[in-house]
Amino acid sequence: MEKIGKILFTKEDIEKRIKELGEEISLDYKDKDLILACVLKGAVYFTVDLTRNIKIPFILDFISILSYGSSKNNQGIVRITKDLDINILGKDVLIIEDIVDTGLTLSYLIRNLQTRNPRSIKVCTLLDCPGRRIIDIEVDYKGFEIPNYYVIGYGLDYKEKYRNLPFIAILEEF
Amino acid sequence: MVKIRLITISRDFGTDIDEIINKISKKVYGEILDRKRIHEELALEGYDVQELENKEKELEKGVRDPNFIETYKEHVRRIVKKYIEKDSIIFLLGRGGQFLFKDENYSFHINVIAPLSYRIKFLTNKFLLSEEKALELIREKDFSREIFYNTLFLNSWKDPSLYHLIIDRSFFTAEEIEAIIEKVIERQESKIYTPEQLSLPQKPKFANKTEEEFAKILTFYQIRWEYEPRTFPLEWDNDGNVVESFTPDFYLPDFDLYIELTLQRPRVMGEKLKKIKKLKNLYPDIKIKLFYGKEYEKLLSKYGIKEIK
Repeated sequence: MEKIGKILFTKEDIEKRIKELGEEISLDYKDKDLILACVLKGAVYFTVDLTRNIKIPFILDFISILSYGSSKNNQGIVRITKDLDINILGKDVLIIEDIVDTGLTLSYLIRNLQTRNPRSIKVCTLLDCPGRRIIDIEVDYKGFEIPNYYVIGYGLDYKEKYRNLPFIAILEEF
Repeated sequence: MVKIRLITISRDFGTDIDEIINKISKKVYGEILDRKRIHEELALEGYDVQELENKEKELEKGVRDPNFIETYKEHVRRIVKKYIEKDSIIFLLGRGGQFLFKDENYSFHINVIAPLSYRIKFLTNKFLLSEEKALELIREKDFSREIFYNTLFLNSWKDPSLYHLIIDRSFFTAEEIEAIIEKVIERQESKIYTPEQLSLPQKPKFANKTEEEFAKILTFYQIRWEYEPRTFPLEWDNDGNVVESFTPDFYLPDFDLYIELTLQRPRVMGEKLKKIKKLKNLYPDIKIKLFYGKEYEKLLSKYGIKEIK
């Protein structure tokens, strides 16, 4: 069994930080062809709120990747289960993640998107958990850095539950 | 041994692979079965082809009619097998041959891909389309194709495990592709080699189950890895013999990174920590990451691996 543990970031903390990120991104991508690539499903809540704080034109698209352990059959390899609908050739792609931890998924995604020749690829994540990092990946915009906790809420799930929590909390198992 | 009788070709829209297959087929006295030929065969059998075409269009729009889907698959299988019995090499273009004949040992599955820039260039040159129109057409066809296969087989044609061979059209000349496919046909045997015959590396002898699981995770994410490829000497005696060494569990060549994993708790792994410290002193350019105890358990737990001792 599991339960909601200590709240790490309140709704207000998250709103404030997203506003700052939105301003930073708006400034950095001024006069660029910004494409926001939201990684389903965890980053949806973050992306939606982030877009409300970006003051420059952009295109929003979604991408979904099969993750290890999500299927009973893990004999295969990672693959994109929902691709971007738009062509990113020559565009400035900003990948939006809910959390970057091991870097394995993100590393695959960056390698995959790079083959499509965008002008630039950067990463924006709500949470960064460097203590769990296997592949060193540069995160360009991060909301918060967290220790090696399993966290839930604001898009992050445990067995598909808890995404709708307005805050981010530690998941406690007992 | 079973002879290869069927070569299925999956291909990106905007390549000239059909023309290449046509040339090969003539050389080897093969038969090409594509959508048109299959419709012609079904017309001869008395089926209403117009209705079939309408239903196919519905598949491309994602309309899933389970009865039609099964009938459709059966039609394609039956017609292909009819030609196979005539003792000639069959080239099946599209139609989901890679799914329909996936487990048939007489079949060989090829996927021909090409970068977007190549496909646009091909279409603009061949059909005198504008680049914008070519791109629009490619997107439209890719989309329909994705929906068609998802509706028909609940799977994506992009899955590389469906194919024996994936060819990037932009990387080879038409003649080279002909030669590759002819080589496959010349083998005349669809045999699965044993790892020994292919000189494949043997599965490493992992120290424990979690290391094997970790290797599976890396493989899943297409990260190349080597298991214990290098031992680093840490101490030497006066005669120059190595008296202490350390062998990290994994090496990731694309990231020039060593990884050491252990489920030991921090308080009982002092020895290992000392060795890593020595390693870093002696080889400061070596990048190594250590995952241990609870941290490592959490990592495994993230990927659904628990209670592995």
